[in-house]
Amino acid sequence: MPYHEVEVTLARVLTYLRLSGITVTPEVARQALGLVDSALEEGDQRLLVRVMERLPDTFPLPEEALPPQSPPVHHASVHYADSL
Amino acid sequence: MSDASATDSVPELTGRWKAVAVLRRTLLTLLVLGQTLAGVYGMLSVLPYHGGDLLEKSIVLLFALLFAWISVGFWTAMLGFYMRRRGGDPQSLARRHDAATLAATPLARTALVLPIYNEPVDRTLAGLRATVESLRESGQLDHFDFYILSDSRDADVWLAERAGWYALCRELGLQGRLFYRHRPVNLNFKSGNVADFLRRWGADYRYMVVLDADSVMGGHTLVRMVRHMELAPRIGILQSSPSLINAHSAFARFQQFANRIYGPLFSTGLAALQLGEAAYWGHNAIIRTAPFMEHCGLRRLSGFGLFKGSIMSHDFVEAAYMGRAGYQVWMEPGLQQSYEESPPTLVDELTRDRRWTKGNMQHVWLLFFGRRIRFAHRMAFINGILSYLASPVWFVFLVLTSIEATRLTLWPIDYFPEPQNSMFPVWPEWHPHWAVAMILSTFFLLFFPKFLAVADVLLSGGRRQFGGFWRLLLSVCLELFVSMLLAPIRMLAHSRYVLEALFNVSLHWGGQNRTDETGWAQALISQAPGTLLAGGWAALALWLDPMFFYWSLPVALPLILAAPTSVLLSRVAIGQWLRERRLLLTPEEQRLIPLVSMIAEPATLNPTPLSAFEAAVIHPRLNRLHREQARRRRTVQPDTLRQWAQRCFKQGPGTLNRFQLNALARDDDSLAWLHRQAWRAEPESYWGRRIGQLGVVVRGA
Repeated sequence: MPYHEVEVTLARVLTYLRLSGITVTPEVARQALGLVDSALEEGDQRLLVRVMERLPDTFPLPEEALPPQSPPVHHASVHYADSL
Repeated sequence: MSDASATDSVPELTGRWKAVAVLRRTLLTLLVLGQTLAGVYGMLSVLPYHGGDLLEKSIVLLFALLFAWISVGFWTAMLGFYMRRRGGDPQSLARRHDAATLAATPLARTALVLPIYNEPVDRTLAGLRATVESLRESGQLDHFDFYILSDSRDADVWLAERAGWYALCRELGLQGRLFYRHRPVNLNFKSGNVADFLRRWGADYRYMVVLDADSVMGGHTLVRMVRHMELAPRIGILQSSPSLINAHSAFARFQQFANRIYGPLFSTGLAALQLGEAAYWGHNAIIRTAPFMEHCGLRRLSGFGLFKGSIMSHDFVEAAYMGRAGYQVWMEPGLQQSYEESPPTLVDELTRDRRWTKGNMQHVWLLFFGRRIRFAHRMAFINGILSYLASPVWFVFLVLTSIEATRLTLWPIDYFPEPQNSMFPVWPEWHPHWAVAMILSTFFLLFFPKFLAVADVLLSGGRRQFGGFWRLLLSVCLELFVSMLLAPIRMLAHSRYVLEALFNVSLHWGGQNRTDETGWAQALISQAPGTLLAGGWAALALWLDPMFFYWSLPVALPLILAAPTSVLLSRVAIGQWLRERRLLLTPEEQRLIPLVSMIAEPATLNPTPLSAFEAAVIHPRLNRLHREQARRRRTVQPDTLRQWAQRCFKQGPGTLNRFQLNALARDDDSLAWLHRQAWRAEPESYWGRRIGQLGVVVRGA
């Protein structure tokens, strides 16, 4: 297994975590390393795919409440005159 | 009862404005008519046969129309100057209530609506952010909600808008107060977009303030507008008079300077004439929602060609309908802190004018077939129509005067012009000094109001705000020179647009460019017809008579130089060079108020190297946001969507067309599948490379 693939996989995990709003602390970094390490133990085929599949189980991703895109609709009519 | 209808039964507060309006308009009519008659008499004296044949009669007729048109502008400015020098119009809304009464007036729920269509997202939302912050500063933010109403067609634009809305909600703490609505089908243009808002949420608000994509409004101004509406329940629309700001290119800075220095005079004069029967300009205005919904629905035109289908320039019509329903429409120039931007280049201005020409020419139908529309609003239609129709009239006038000059030079003198049945010959007379007097009087009508505007600034003690007396004077001279260069170019372009409108050529309805400069190739191609026409005309004039050649130069030369004029005026460097020399300065440029500084360099809402579509696929939060808002009803078969998603994954979004990208971006499953696949993609693949680039930025941050 080329070292490069491991490096890329770890970088991708950390990027995903950061974008998800998780601060990468030493503890988080160790967990990420552990995730890659455990995936490596199962072989070097499709490492990236396996790591990304397991990522949500290892890191509970924060699901912040999204702002409502629109308020409740209160239907009303726009009236048209009989003539121009 | 809905909030929107709470004040609908309150009696009218009229005052004397109707009688004053009739008096002022009558006076204006008499002055314009008198001046036009004098002009026609002068023109008849100038013409060799004194209007004795069809050609000269036509020349006189067109001249009368053009002279009357500029006379209206002249006397409007005179009235504006008079009103400003006496401290404002006693009939204006601003003078109706004192500060204490206004401050004691409670506010009502108001929605700020921002209809947008493929606009630059960062700048548009920066304007909204500035308005929100200003309202927060006023301490009255709680009375306002905000709606971004998007009609954008490109997935990359509306996804960026939604991501920007999300970022703005978080940044400003406006969750549940700032909303985003994207219409999948943009029926009936902007008015349809606003009507869509009203049908859904209009009943929740007593007022709505309509903003444009480049609008910025001060919090205190908005609060004041709501209070004016609360105090005068028969006002249906209150229009502010926006000033231009944030100009960078030379073209935009010339427009901004002209607007800032001449604008107050003309808008004060216009407001004094219109009073409670003013026009609505489509933005930077507050509208009473209940009567607007009740009376201002726009029927499709039922005529032929241009006069069939949706009404494009909706604002004048909505004002007319509001007036027809018995509500007043006021324009109040005294409302400060209402801003918009100029198109950055001549090309952009003309692109916008192309749409506006068609919209205004459509009003011909309403002018004749609109029922029970007030006379003042019919006059507003005529004003809008003539703003563009004056160009082809001027063009035909030039053609006819050229024919007249050709006839005098090449053809034998006609001593018995039709329909003269006299035995005595008519000797053609040519009085160059009278012609010079006519030209000078026309120039006086055109340019004197501009110097009056300068006098108004000087008398108000505002010269320092424009860079001091000498710089102000030099700036005005520069502006006059540039406006003379631009007038023939605009004339020719507007003439073409009027013809296009009358023959109902379909137009591309696009957003306004606010950044790019005009390239030489683009300018040379777009201005080539005018340049060739003017070159040919000048050559003909020179061949006919050197004197006629010199007369033709003020029109021919700007057209010949149209391409370099267009390119050079679009340059930001030239605009900044002028600014560094403190030329074309405006008060807002001198003293950068927070409202303006917030939009001067808008924050980048998407700091990543990704397009909005790529960000929607890759970014976990944005992917979730867009999936949450995805449509539950599919318009494309799942198998087809899957094929497009697979192609997008393998080859990137660039291989899909707009329809396909829109379909994927609106589909929850497709977005989820692409997100999953992208993060599992090989580093060398399209999505792998994009994630790699994003990772560099994220780590750097």
